Amino acid sequence: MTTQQVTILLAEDDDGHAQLVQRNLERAGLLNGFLRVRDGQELLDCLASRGDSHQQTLDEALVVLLDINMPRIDGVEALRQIKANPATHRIPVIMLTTTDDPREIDRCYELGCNVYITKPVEYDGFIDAIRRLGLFLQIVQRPRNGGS
Amino acid sequence: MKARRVTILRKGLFVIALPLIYQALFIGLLLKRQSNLQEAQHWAMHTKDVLKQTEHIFRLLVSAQSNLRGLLLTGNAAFSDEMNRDEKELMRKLPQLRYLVRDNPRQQESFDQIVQSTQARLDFQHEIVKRIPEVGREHAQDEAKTLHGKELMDAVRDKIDRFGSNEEQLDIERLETLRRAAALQNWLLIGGLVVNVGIGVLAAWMFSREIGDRIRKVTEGTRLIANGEALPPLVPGSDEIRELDEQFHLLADHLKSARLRERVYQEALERRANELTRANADLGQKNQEIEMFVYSVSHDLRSPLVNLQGFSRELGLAREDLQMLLNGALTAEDRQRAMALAKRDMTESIHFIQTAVTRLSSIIDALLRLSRAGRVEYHPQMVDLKPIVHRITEAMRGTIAERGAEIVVEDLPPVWADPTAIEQIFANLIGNAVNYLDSKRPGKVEIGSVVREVEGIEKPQTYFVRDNGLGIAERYLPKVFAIFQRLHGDVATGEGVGLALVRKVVERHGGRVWVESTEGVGSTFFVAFPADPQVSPLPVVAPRKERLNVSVPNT
Repeated sequence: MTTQQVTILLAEDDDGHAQLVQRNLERAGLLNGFLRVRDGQELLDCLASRGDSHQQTLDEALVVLLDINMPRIDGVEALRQIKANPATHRIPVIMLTTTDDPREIDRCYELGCNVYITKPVEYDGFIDAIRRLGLFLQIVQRPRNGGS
Repeated sequence: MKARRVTILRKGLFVIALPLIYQALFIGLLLKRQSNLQEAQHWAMHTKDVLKQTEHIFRLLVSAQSNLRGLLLTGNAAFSDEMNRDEKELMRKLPQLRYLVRDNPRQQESFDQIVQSTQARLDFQHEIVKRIPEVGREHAQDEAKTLHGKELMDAVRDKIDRFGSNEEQLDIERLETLRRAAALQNWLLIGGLVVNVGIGVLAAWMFSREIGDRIRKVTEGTRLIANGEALPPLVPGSDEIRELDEQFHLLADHLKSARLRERVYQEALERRANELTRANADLGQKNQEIEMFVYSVSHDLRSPLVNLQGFSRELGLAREDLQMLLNGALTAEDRQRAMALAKRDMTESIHFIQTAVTRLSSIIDALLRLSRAGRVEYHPQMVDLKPIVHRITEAMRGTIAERGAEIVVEDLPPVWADPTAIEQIFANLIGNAVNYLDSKRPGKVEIGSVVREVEGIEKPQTYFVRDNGLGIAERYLPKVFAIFQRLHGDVATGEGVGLALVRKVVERHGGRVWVESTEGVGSTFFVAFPADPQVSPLPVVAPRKERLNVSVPNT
């Protein structure tokens, strides 16, 4: 199996956090496709534009990294909208947050998030999670693609 | 006073005594009747006695007559002795009979006649006896045979018969009197019995009326007491029932005052309970706010900590890389790489670490400010808002000019508050209004007052700060006054503590702050204070001249 192309879409309002995520992805060699947005609204807009232009293909698998505390539309609301929209609900989502409030974790899993990671992140584990998700993405998406 | 009291015991005794006295009289009457009967019997015996004595006297006379005859016929002296003995006996008996009839003058008279006749007869006999020696026995016998002797004897008999019949008549009369008296007594007995029963009934009726009716009244009184109704006047009298009624009246009074006290306590208790419920709800809300506050604070503290941790690790990695590069002989490429590490990675890391430290510091500052707002001593007075608002807008002139905003200050009535706190409140509200104006249209900020009903505040004095800025989406409205909640974080800098501070200060004034907003149209923040200093929770103390420590956050 060849290394898959995974585009990572990071929604994070804190520049420092964004920088840390980016550097770690870079260090792990996973920076093939990296895009950062500053809040939930921007993320949804971005996803919508990709959907509209039919840019999302099998080769361009997508993983969303989502911070919870963001202005305008926060992470939880963005997650809800992503999972509620048939065009985007298959995109794997990793929640990144500073809180480990069990109620919030439960709520995110209920809404359909794939992984929930509490900051400050142990970046090795974080990279692993992203790798696995990319792989997972490829496996589950192949039959659908083959059929169409 | 006690001696004059007519107690139930006395009444009862009276009720018992009345028939008893009557019965005693009645028994006396019966005894009297008994003695009357005995007397009657006695008199009956007496009559018989008298008759017997009379008979005896007559027999003695007859005997004397016989002896006289014997003497005349035989001349035997024995007859003479006999005659003398009879005479003596007669003389002895006569006074006895006289004694027996001493009570009756008529019989006495009659008896005297007997005595006279007897004496006449005896005198005749004496005469005869005396004649025997003078004229001889035969002659005397002849003289004795004359009618004279018989006449005398008949007179005595006649007298005795009359006396006897008189005595019998007397006896009959006495019996008749007795019978009448007995009949009268019988009627008296029957009448007495009837009267006795009547007195008993009357006494019982009076007792029942006197005691029973009043006891009923008192009992009715206790029922009224139980129902908490007013009592009728005291029952008449001075006995135990009256005393009981007095005690009941006393009890009713006590009960009434106790009920009154109970009602007062009840009301106080209800008031307290309501206050407690309110306080409890208040505490519950406060507790929730504090939980929310702690959650927000910890979250916001962790965010810069992530950067501190992450970038210090980055620094560490960069240091390792540098060391590795410096260990070998530096090629031009290595040198370039080392420069990149130092210039780009490490500079960036240091920058983020410094930013995080600054952020942490400002969060802690904000917390301290908020804490101080909750503790600082207020010096309330009637505050004129106009100069305060003017001072705030003057201080923000630069920002206002930069945004091209128009500030409209309407009429602002004075309010009972701490001037520094008022300045804090309006500086925050006006600062927010100016900072979050919509750059797409000319900004306008209005400051004024309205008349509004405000829940929980009597006679509120309400002010508003209205802008035509970005506005707040409905789902964020509940979080507006929570700490570290920043909606338009990209538009202006700040820690997200301003409105939390405003709310704290307003609430300490016993007031309320709230917002009405439409996203994309603008927001109006309202602040309401109790207008009446009496209602304000702030202490009424002499105002201080000047206060230091005026902070204008968020600007």
